[in-house]
Parts: sequence; C-alpha cells; structure tokens
Amino acid sequence: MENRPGPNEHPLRDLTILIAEDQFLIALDVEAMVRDAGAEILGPYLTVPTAREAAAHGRLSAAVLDFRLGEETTKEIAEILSARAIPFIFYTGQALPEDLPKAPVVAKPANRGVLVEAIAAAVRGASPVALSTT
Amino acid sequence: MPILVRFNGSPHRVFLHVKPVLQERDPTRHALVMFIEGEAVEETDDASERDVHGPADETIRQLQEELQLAQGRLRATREESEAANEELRAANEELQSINEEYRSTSEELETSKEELQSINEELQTVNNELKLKLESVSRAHSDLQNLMAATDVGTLFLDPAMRIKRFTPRLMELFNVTSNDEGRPITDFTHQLNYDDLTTHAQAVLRDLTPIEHEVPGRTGGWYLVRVRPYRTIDDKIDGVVATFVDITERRRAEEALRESEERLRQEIRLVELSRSPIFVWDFDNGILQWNRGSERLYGYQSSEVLGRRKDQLLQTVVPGSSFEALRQKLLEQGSWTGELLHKTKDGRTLTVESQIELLSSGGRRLVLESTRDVTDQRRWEKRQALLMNELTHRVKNTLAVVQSLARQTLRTTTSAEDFVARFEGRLEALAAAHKLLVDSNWEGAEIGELARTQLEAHVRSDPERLRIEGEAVTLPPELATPFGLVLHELATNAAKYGAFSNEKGSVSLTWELERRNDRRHLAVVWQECGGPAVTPPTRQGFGGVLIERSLPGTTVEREFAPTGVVCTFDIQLPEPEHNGESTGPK
Repeated sequence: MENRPGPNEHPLRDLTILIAEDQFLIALDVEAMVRDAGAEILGPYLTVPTAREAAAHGRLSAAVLDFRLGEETTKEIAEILSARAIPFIFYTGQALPEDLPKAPVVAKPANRGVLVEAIAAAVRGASPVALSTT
Repeated sequence: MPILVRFNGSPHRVFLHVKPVLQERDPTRHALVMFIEGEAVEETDDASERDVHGPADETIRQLQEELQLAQGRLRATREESEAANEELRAANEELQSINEEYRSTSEELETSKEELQSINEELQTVNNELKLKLESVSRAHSDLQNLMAATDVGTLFLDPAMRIKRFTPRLMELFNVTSNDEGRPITDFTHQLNYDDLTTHAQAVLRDLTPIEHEVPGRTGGWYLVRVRPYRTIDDKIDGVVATFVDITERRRAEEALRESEERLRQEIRLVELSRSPIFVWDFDNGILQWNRGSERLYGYQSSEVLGRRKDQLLQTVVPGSSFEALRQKLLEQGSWTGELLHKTKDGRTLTVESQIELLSSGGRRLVLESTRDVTDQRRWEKRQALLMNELTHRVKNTLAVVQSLARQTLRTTTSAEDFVARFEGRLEALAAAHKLLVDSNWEGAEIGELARTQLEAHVRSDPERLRIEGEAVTLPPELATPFGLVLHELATNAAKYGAFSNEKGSVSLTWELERRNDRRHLAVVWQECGGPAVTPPTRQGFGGVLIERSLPGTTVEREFAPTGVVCTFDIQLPEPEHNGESTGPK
C-alpha cells in the first residue's frame, strides 16, 4: 500500500531540511514527505525556542516553516535564515503579515509533489511563480 | 396947475399933479402922475368977454377959491399918498422879514435834504441786506421743497386743529390727499393704514409734548412705523404736530424671519442638548464651549466640569496614525474631519469613537463642532470577527492538513483497506470529538476531564466502573487539546486491542495533578492500566506509538510496558492561562 518514490524521485537528495511545525501530525507528514524525497531531517521542532537554536547554529540546506507555533510565530526564525542566506518556504494555512522576509508560501493542505517541488525550487534559488500563493 | 380939457362936449378943468416916487437907495426913476377932474367951464369966448367986460374981481376970487379947493384937494391927496407910501413901506418891511424867514427856512431845508440823503443811503443798504436775506430764505425754501420731495418718508405736518399744513409726496401713497388739500382737516381723508388713533395720538402729543411711536399694519400687508412729535417753531413754540410714516415692511419681515430662525435655533439647540449622541463645541484656539447630555453620558464629565477646558487635554485625544496637531491643520485646510479617535472617559476607560468635526467661523471666532459615536464595542467586535475569520480559515486548513497527515500516516502502517478504514475512522472521530469540545468553548480550550470522557467512555459503555478519571478541572489550550484527544484515543485503542480493555475485568485510571515548577505550570498525567492480559512491549513502533510519544508539544512522555499493565506518564508544560485583551470581549 505504501507509495514509495522511485530512485529518480529524490529531488531533495543530500539536503538537510529543518521543519518547524507545532501540529505534530502535520510535522510528521511533512517529515515523511521530505524524507521520502531523499533529504535528511532537522526537527521537526514544535516550538519556537527549539527551532531558533537549530536555525541559528544547525547545519541545514533549507527549511519548511509553519507561521504560528503555539502562541509564537516563526518570524524570528525566518529572519535568522534570511540572515544566513538559507532558503526556506512557509507551509501555512493563514495569511502572512507584510513584514516577513520574502519567501515562497505553500498553502495547507498541499500534496507531496507541490511541497517537495517548492522546497527544491527554493534551494535552486528560483521560486516558481505558481507556488507563491498565500 | 389946472388945465382946460374939452370932453363930453364941454370944457372941464383937470388938475395935473406930478410927484416923484422915492425908493430907498434907487435914484428916482418913476413919477406918480395924477389927473384930478374939476368943474365944467362956460364958453370961454362969452365968459372971458363978459369977465373982461364985466367984473374982473369976480373972476379972480372965483379963481382963488378954486385954487384953494384944489390945494385942499392936493393936500388930502398928498396925505393919502403919504399914507399909502407908509403902507407900502410897511409892506416892504414885511416882505423883507418874510424874505429873511424864507432864507432861514431854505437853510433848514438844505440840512433836512442832507439828512434825507443819508437816510436814503441807509435804506439802500438795509434794502440790499433784505434782498440777500430774501434770497437765502428762498433758497432755504427751495431746499426744503426738494428735501420734502426727495424724502422717502411720509411726513405730515398738522396744525393744532388737526388741519394739514404740509406733507411729503410719499404721504400721498398712504393718505388720499393732494397738494390742494392743505388747510383741510386730516380727519376728512381716508388712508391705507389700520390706524384710527392718529388724531387721538396727535392730541396726546400736543398735550404731553412727548413723542409717540407706533408700528401699524397697512391694509395691503405692509407695516409702518408712525412717529408723532410736537412741531416746535424756531422760537420754541408748539404749533401742531409732525407725523412721520416710515415703511418698515422689510424690517418687520426680517425681524419675523430672524425671530423664526431664532426659534428654530433654540429648538435645535434644545434638541442637541437632549440628544443622546455626544455633541460638543470647542473653540479652535481655546476650550470647550458646549457639552450636551450625550457627551455627559459618554464621557462621564458634567457640563460644568468641562466648559473652558481644552478638549484634547480633557479627553486625552489620540489620533491613530497621526497627531492632534495634524488633525487641527487638516481642519483648517478642509473645514471638516471625519475619522476614528481615541478618547479617555472620566473613569479612565479608553473609547474608540467615530468623530465628525466641522470648523465654523463665527464672528471672528473659530468654532469646532464635534460629534462622536462610541464604536469601542463595535470595533472590538469587528476586530474579533476578523480574528475569528482568520482563525477559522487557519484552523480549517490546519485541520485538513492534520486529516491529510492522519490518512497518509495511517496508510503507511496498515496492511489492508479495511484495516485502514477502521483505524482512520477511529482517529477522525477522536479528532472530531476534540474539535467539538473546542468549538463549544469558543476555541478557548478543552477541560481535560471532559476531553478524557468523550474519548474513553465509548470503550467502557457496558461497565463504566472500569474507567477512573480523576483530577481537578484543568483547561487544555487548543494546541494541546487536539493531540491529547488523539493520544487518549490511541491509548484506548491499544488497551482495547492488547491491554486492560481487551478482557472483561481490566480497568484504566487516568489521573492528573497540576504543579508549579520553575514558575511554570506543569500538568502531570498518569495513564495506568491494570487487570488486563500480561503486557509485552511492542516489537516495532507504529504510528499510534509515535502519536502518543511525540505529538504533544512541550511534553515529556514516558511509556512503561509493565507486565501488570501499561503505565504512561505525561509531563505537560501548560502555558499561563492569561489571555490577551481578547478574553474581555464578548463571548
């Protein structure tokens, strides 16, 4: 029954992806999708303080951020990543405030192909227009 | 000497007497000749012959007698002449004295004539003066005529007997008089005024010498101001009255309009005063001038407390995104301003008000009319609405993502379609039950006991004694309540498959305690099974196990597969129950 990807379906091979998502079930899902695409996982982090530490000092290639973690937001994480020039995307169900660092946004819920492709595009430095919806 | 003169046919003797006429200084130039008739003589021839022949003595005596007679006559004549002469002399003297008198009279006349001349000159001067005066009088008269004609005021001069003395042309519009009617009593004429007291008033003025004023309506709708005053001559004598009729229709109309608009204004002011809407007036450069009942109610300040105080200081006006100074500037430029302001009440509450401000210039002052509407609750509600809407979208999308994840993760660990459907449905129900509690609480959170009962009671419906749920009421926030519901579902499902709920007598106790450590709230929850079949640890970690151990944020989970029953302890770090201002809003 498992939908295992083939050997040439590892667009995130050799990458380390940070996941910040307070809904564990969603985090688990994202983790599974990203892992299936060939990447290593940093996290998933369910709170801002744990994610901050990893974002600031961890070895990572890209990040998938939910916007709201509990009572806090990942604005701070996004700023840290921007400062480190690490690509990231938002995976969120809500409208984002204006003052965030610019990043592609993937609306929840997304199927695996869309999310993985958005991460890959961000890593390549080109964010597909079709995906930057809010 | 006697001379013989023949006349009347016989000779007569005539005595000729000549005498020089003497005048005083003149030599004698004239002589007075007198002929004096004598007696008739006989024929001389006969007589002389006879005398000569007769007695010659006779003749001589006769002649002597005659001479004596003549001499007597001469004497008398001389006397007469002398008397006449005397008389003449006297007459002459008289004439001389008369002449003297004449001369003196003539001199007097001369003097008189001179006097007359000087009087004449004086008269001429006076005459000239009079002529000048006459001219000025005539000019004054003509001025007066023109003034009367030009004056727009009906003026009527009456003598003490109420007879018309004079009037201006305008009076003819009011009274049916013509210029020929001067001297006739004013009572003889009809007029256009509803005013029958003219004579009464005129007589009163004559009696009291105080002017009388009346506003009287005309018969055609106009109004006139009638003033009756005594007529004073230049030497301050009263000689009748002067009545003036001024057309004040326009003024009356203006006054009426003014009265009406004042009345309207009073009503409007009263309305404003009574209005429940807060309305107040402040001086652009100064303090508050008016403060109605609505303002008293909204802000808590009585009118007497605020008059004269600066509005922005009193209400601590805050213009969101701008400043009060900028607002004033805008008022000056555009005359009005509409927008939201923050105002502080007397008891310190901050209100959001919708304010309408208008600047009026009145008599050199700049007045500001401000009416406000308290939209604090409305704004709070709208804010909450927007927040809720945003939140709802967020939750729906998150929930869909959770469902998606549940489906995918369940799919990963099931072996058949039936197995998948059963597991997925169970998890979906658990999720739905947790959500229902959150929705019921307006997404504030779910009480842990209630959450446990909704998740677990289905497993012990036949024997509720097999489940013990114990602990104080603690509200789990939404981000904990949803996964905790799922965790309980997984624990119960496992218990039903392998543990305490899998036989007839096993039981489960779920207890919790609220603790405070390092100034944070911790909830210690213990899931303890007993009476079930002997427990053996699972060979591999399934999705359910992952859920139980990892899905609660900020939580340490310990799962112990003791042979007597599974024990699972949770150390959940709770956020402080304080909420931001939202919780004070309507629920």
